Amino acid sequence: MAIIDPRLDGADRAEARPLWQRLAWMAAIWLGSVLTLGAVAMVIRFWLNSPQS
Amino acid sequence: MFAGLDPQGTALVLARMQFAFTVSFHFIFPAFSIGLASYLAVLEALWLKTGKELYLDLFRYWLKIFSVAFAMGVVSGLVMSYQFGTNWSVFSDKVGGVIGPLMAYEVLTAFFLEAGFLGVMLFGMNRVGRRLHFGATLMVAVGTFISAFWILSVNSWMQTPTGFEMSPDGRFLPGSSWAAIIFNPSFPYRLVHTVIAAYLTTAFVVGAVGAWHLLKDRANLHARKMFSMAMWMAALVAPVQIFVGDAHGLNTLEHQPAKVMAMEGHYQSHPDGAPLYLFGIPDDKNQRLDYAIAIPKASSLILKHDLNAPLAGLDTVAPDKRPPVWIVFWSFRIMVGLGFLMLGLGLWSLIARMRKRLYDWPMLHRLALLMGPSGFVAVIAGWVTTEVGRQPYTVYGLLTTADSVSPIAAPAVAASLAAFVVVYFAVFGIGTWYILHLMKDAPHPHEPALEEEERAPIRSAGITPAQHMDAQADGAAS
Repeated sequence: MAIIDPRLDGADRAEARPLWQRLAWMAAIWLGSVLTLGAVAMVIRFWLNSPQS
Repeated sequence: MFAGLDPQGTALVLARMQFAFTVSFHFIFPAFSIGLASYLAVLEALWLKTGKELYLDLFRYWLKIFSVAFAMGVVSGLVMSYQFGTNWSVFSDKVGGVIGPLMAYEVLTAFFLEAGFLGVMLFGMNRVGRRLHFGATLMVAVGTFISAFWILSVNSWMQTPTGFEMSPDGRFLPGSSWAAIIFNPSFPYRLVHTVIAAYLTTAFVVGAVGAWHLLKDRANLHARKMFSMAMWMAALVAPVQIFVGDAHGLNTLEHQPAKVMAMEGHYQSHPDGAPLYLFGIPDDKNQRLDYAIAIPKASSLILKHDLNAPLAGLDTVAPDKRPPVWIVFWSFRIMVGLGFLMLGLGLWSLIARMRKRLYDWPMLHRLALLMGPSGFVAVIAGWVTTEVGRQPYTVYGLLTTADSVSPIAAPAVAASLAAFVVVYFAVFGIGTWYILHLMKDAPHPHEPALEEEERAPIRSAGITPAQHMDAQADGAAS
């Protein structure tokens, strides 16, 4: 009897979604990652430009 | 070592030490992540093509390690750019017009390709599906390569500057063609040599981890697969790297002959064929190589493809234009020696494969384990060779290192250097320990993804459930 790998459920479910939804998720995660890195970079920039530094 | 130096000379030496320390630390991580990003793309492609879960397990195992190495690469890289402003402001002021845009492209690549798609790679499988996830993995792999492209273009331009114009106040400005700046004469050779070095570095780490787990359990199919893939890389790519390195050396002879003289230990010119020094103790003061062991005329054969071709020595270079020979001579030998050791291990693995003993030869596995860090040592030794060999210039032949340093006091540089040493060993020591901790655990069937780590079932030691056996059988290693 074939055993379904429980860890693949998420990926299988995702494959079943329409392409536009998956692309929207991809864009959202991508944007979140870039914004997170951007926020860190801005904090460092403000810190370096602060009068004390 | 600071005796006889004026305060500005001391600051220069300390600034150089700081850059050497931080860049050596930094280089370890991209050297690993460039190769590992491509390895992850290959593993995911194999999983999608074959459907074998073994490849997904290996992908998830190495993805955790990649994410830690990538983060440490980003953090250690930040420090490098700060130093352009703190210790090397004159250099930045003079050459910023040329190298600034190239470094900006590198940052944009790191932001929008590497860091952006890394989020999808780490947390997106259950949201975007397999094929789009593979697209994200490819973007990260391509991003690491493009980052290397821009950084190596900058470095190569500093070695072989072309395509620029000088302003009346002594600044380097871009000329009519950016292509002439980007694709400067040493760039293609340095790019190929460095990227292959990164692939080999990763292959030897993967091979060492596979060997470690094979020594503990030679039936581990995941360890077998990663060891096999790594040894294919060693056997096929190490010889290619030797040829590419030779071509890079010939390019260096054409554009930076003093560097090659230092690499070869040629203090004196040899009008009738130059010997290849295998060993020797360079003596810069007396301009001679002590205790030399040499193969007559072999250097002329390698560099000019003619046993009797004349080769000029450092006696033809003005004393203040000579690089320090001791460092260049030995760092070059360390790099080349490790390259041939890599080739040796690759050939041994081929013999073991032909004799069907690849997974059953403990001596081979021990050597592979020992060679795990060899790629890191080789890339740093190669970097030292090319950077120290460029001295006394930052922009070869045009801008000296002494004229590039900031007007900064030695105690300030000493204090920041000391802080870097302490912080680096603490932060990156912990990071490296964590990577080794991840490597210590054997890859196994149903390796959890990062987003599933917390809710994954705890594996019971010594128990192999039936479905795991099925998964192993599906993904049986060659």
